[in-house]
Amino acid sequence: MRIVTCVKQVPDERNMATDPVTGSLMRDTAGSIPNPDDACALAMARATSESLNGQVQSLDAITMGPRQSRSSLRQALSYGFDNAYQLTDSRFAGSDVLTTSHALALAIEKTGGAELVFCGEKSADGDTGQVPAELSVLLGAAFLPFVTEIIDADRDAITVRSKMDDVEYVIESSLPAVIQVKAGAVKSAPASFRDRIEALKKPIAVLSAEDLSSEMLFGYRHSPTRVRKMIAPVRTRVPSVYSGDDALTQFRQILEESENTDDLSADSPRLRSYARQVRETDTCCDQVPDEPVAVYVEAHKKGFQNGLELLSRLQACGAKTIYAVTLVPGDHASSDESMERVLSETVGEELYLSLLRSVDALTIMEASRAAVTTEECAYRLSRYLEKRRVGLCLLSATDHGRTVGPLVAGTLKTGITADVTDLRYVSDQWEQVRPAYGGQVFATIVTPEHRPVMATVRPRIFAVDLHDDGRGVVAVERAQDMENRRTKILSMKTCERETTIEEAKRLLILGGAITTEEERDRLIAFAKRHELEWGVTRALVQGYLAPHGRQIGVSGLSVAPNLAILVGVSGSVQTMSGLRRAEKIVAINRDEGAPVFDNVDIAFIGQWQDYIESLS
Amino acid sequence: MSEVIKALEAIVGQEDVVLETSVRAQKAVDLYALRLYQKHVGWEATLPQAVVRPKDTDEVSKVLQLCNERGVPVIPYGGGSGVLAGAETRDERTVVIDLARINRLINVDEISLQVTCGAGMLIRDLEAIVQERGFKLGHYPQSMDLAQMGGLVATRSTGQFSTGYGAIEDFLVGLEAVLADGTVVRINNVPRRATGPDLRHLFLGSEGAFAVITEVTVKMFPIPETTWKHAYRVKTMRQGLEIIRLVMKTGIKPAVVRLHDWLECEKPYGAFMEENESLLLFWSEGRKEIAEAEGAIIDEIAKANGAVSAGEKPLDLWYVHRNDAADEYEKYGANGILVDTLEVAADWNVIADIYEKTVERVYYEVPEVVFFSGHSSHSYINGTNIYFQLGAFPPPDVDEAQRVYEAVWGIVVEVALEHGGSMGHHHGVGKHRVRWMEKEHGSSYALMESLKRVFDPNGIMNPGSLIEL
Repeated sequence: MRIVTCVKQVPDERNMATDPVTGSLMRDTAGSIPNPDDACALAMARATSESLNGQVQSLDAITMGPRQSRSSLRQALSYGFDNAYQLTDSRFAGSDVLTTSHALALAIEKTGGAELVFCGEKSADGDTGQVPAELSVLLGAAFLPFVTEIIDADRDAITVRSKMDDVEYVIESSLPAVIQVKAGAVKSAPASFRDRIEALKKPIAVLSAEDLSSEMLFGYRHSPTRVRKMIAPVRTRVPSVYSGDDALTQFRQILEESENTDDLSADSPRLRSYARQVRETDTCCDQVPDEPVAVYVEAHKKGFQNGLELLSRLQACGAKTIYAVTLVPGDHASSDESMERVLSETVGEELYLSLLRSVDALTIMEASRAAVTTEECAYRLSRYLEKRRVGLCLLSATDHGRTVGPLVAGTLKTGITADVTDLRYVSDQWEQVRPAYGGQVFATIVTPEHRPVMATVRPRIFAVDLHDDGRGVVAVERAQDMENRRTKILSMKTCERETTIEEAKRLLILGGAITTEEERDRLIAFAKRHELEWGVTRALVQGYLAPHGRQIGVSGLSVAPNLAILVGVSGSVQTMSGLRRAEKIVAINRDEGAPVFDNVDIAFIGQWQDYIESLS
Repeated sequence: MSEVIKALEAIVGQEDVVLETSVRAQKAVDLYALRLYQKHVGWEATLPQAVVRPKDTDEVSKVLQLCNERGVPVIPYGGGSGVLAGAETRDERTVVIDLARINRLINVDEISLQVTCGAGMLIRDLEAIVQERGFKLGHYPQSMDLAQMGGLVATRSTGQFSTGYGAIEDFLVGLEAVLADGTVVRINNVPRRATGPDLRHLFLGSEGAFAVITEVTVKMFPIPETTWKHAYRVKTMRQGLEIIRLVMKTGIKPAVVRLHDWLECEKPYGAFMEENESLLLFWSEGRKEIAEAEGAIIDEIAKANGAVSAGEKPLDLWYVHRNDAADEYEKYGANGILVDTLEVAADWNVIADIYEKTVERVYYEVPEVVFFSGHSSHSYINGTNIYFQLGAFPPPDVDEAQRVYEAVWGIVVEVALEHGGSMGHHHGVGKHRVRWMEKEHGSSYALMESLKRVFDPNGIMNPGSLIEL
């Protein structure tokens, strides 16, 4: 048996210099570090290998990247991995999700195949988390997303615990399988100095493009997605700046005012932010072609709410034929009509009808079992998109959508863009906008030649604003037999929601300047005292100081509170995108040059401790 | 309220005898690495009975006189950036003398290029003052944001640009200090004198165990016209050290000469290097002709000895991030990591052996260590220093942390001394290194004890620092 872990080097953001002219990050000035999430994958792979008691012949690590970037492989070797492989070749440069997965899949096969492949949840630089799923498709392996624990493993099968969208699953799978390890699932102690020095002495095998394949379908040239342009973020807020004693008084006032505000007043902040949203959507769009566009809607209440947001955006873009497609559990429907009725009852009639009225057709697909696997969703959705010749497919960037999306994209060999913050049709292409380079700029991504164009969109990025001009035809597809079913859900249980951040009216957000549990706890206590909900930026999730469920930003939650107080937040686009719809943003930072001050309503310069203390 | 407190209040005024617990706790410790870890696993500081804040030399004199008569231990407290417990209180009768208020700018002499100020002046502020007039101090310790001028003299500080500008003993022109019995002594400013031993050296590195420094005069330099900087990759530390030796042998003194081993380079400079290499950083500044000529000499020597150019960027990264560690210092302990820096110095003929032997012994002998690296950062015609950086994960316990800490320190000191080097290049002695002072100084150690007796017959001056209790 062979276990392979895929790892990546990412730029050390701390060391990244900013171009003084364009304001963008200069990657070549940065050192690189092992991707933080990969440490969890390495640890889980090692533990699995140990639990298999000598059945594992080799425990290996593979990376793709520039020749100098080896510390992630050294990390693997220092954890006791047997072999390390580095894919390095200028022809790999600029690979997107599909071509990266292609190269990794070939490399795994060329070096002896693997029964189990472990990957980190996502890379800190690309931040898409799509490679593991596409890799599984290209390897013909089962895919196990967001795995928190390996329950049992043997030569032929593996059983894991997985947590997606507040539901905990126990999934059994055949081998081979690709396991996407949920960030923070395993906390591994760092390797000792001894192990690090020993690791430096072990060889690393280098593989070039030729070593993998004579077809050379690698790199930017063969990637379905293209970066059309980079744009600096638009500044939508101009801050009032305070420092010194004045500032403390001002801060207290803002907090007190917000405690007493009745958010149901006529001049509701939500109305105003809605108006802002509409202005943004006005910056649309060329004439959209005739090919149909589709939204994959999850068959539950929240899924439909999210679906309406995506449909609103497609309507605003002027899409001509709009489809929605959903997959319902296959346990209770005796007829087409009863399937429709059950769905309508599940999501609520009002939501169901709103959706129906805004689309040209709603396809309700019946799953073969009561517990629907992402594998089956992807299988059915792929066939649907092919059959209907869909030009663009949007999914909500929930854990579920972020899993199904790349599985489908991998199957259809097309491009997919994760976590887009804007979508429009310009110069013959669907432009998908998402933050890039650690969130300092927006990249506009197009998929020129492959169809469908696929993208996942965070919930709450677009406002719901629908007109009822769809025909609302309902089509029902009954359950189909799936060849080659690899995964099976043994049990599922809904976990309690960890937070109420998404609904919170008043939010305290902790940024990268908070680096210890002590500091974090002090701020949480402050939040509790003042009845603020609290969230964090990516840095704290990466530092294991907070769960991902509290992360605000492109790869976390988008929120729309009346008041957001940012403490020690640097202000990357990645974070600020998640706050676009906040009514009032207040930031405290000791560095008056911090980028966060470019995009808030009120700026307090100083130590956060002083502000917290002034109120206690 | 004790009698001593009342008497202190009579000298400096009630407001400036601080009894508040938070202030006493703050001035009870410095940045001693072991404590930065231990305080998160149950270690508690011994608080001084009071922190006094004299406003001038006269008040310092009276405070010392009082304490000397009553046998009350005193610790002069500067910026609190020491890393070896020199300012740590270990006796609850202690009175801490906070020098922060004695921070007056006294004179800037733009003709003779020297500046005089109170000991409590922050070096950061003094640098800003002279920069405004077109000068620089040339002294840039990592503690730049915290350190005070008097403290830098008292601890024999050095800075990141020392290879060119020299260390504190090269900058210090004259000073004023108060002895244990309250006597005020002054050493006047002159370029040089041959009138007996240089008395300034009795205060340089005295660490509050002999006297309290109240005023200093240091040199300043014109802001350089130009900078030449370049990085080079070398295969081993030994090769890099040899290149530095050859550069120093030519007699030139580039402002910055550094050599980092791979573990230290991997993260910040990995993109510019091959694995397992070491990186040389050179920085010359001053008149254009001189900086460029120095650069040409460095480039020739480096390349002739197998170094490969790595461009200028590593220097820019180093310059921007050179003091980041100081900001993060407090965070490591809170995250369960024991972090320290240990600096030794030795002649060229043994320094590479010391580096290799130390790394090897730490590797074999201390399993809790997760990071151990070294760099050379202050070079001389006859030798250089090695600055080791330690990261360890001891079990979360006061005694366990101490055990791991002592194990590493034991190795570093032992290897340096057995090769005829010094156990301390620029962090001083504090209360941590005292146990090895006799070994360090050998037959001359008796003089150290004699000096202590002469300066401080009642043993009140920062007891336990410099000389073991």
